[in-house]
Amino acid sequence: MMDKLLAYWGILKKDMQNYYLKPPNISWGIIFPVSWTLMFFIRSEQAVDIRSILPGVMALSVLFGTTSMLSVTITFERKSRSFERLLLSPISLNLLMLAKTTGAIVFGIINAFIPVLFAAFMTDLSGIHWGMLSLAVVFIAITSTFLGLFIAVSVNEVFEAQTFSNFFRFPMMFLCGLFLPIESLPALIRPLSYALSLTYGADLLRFSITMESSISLVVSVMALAVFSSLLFFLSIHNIGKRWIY
Amino acid sequence: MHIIEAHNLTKNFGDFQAVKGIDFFVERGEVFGFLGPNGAGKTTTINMLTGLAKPSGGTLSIAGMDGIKDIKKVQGRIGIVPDESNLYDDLSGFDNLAFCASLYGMRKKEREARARELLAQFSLDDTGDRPFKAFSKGMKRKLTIAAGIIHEPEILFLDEPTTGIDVESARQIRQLIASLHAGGTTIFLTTHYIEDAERLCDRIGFIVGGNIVNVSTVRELIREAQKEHVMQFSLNDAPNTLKEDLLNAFTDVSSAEQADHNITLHSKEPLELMPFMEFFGSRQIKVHEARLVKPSLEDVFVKVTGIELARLKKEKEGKK
Repeated sequence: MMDKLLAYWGILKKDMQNYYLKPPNISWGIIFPVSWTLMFFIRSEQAVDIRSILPGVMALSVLFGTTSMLSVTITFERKSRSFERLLLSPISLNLLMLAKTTGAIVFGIINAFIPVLFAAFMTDLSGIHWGMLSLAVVFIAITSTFLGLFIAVSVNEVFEAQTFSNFFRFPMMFLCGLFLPIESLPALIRPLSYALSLTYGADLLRFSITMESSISLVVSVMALAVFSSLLFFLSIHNIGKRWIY
Repeated sequence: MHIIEAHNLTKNFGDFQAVKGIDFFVERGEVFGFLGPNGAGKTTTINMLTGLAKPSGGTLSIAGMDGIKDIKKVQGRIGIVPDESNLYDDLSGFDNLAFCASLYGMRKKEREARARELLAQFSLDDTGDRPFKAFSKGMKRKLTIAAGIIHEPEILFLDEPTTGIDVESARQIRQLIASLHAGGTTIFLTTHYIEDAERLCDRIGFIVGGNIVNVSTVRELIREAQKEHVMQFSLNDAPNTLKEDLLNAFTDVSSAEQADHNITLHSKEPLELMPFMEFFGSRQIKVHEARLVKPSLEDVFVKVTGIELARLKKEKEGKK
């Protein structure tokens, strides 16, 4: 057991050192939420309600941060064959992929709290349900990371990972109810919203900040748990099929 | 005692059978060479032995364990050095080794001591914090081998260890293979440098078209390939009639070739040197050099696989 923990920690530490704590990635975590906040400010042509846009900025920071990082790093390691080294080590595939995804999940969680930090200087954050907010952030980070893993397993090239990520991310942005309420979407598109993990994470996040939600909290938590398990095990299945052929 | 034993090992990719029910074993402590042309099933076999590919059929025993069901346990007892250096570009030599050690559950003190020991053993201890990407090709190769033996495996799989590196690094790697062998590590070696295989391997298996066509000791393989006995003489003088005179005088000699002052004799029977020395002496011909020409492992390879080694080398180096 101790051996497995050491291997898990070794992979996590290496990924942190090698990818997540690199200056370009740290700056990404700062620039991205600032850009989003400015974008909303320019669009609204008036003083922006920081609190109302906070859930959206947080959710997108996590979504873009985790999916980009994980899908690119895994695809890159596959190309350079260093991922083979991990597959050939005496640790189970489940533990290996948990170790690989933990770094991205932590990166996502940190990314989510950068907008909160900025917001704290600009507006009053009292009344936020911090427990619920943390739960939502953790779930969004997990599901987004596992989505990145699913993408990484499905492609061969780094550029394919980026393209494929955008294929999921941009529709998610508009369909998850963060900027356009799901109820205002055409009836034909609405079911798509409910098929996205971000819809449930964003709803939880919005509830924790504005106390408004359109989906039952229990349903959201359960849906997020199901999405997390499904994406993880689907990815593991694909790895077993595609990489250990 | 067999440390690796494969029976009827098969790998199919759809309708294509890449490995066709092969049987072989590797003795504990030996250097086993695994040779074959590109596309023969070499890499697929190694991938099945190391757990990167699942066999479609057959059985596999490695280090006394089921090499298919217990592959994760097996992986803790084997070391793998791929044909391309696959460590992390941005990590230093020390960090790369320490990371690889952590994958095998080694404690901090233990892995740091082992990393330092290996860096010194491979003359890489002066690389400091230099990232792996700044290493020369030879240094990268050495560090990749060091990473493969960080956990002191019982069996080491070495894929093309000396390809594309400088002479000095290649020499160091050959010495290391010899010292690991002397220390009791079983080595499963693939190489297209036949001279490496001849020098380092105890036994060699040839795989061609997904079948193992021959497994034997180097000496036995060469003996099998020796269809005829060949003796070459370098002389101070060689009259035009010398070839005919030799064929008439020695009925065992089936054919002869004469070029300048050199003559080559072929026979189905072993040739004795002294009668020829007396023959040349009686004609006042001085012999500068006389030698028995033995087939090399390269001749065996060409015979077994049917392909020219030069072509194989060109293909392999072209891939790098």
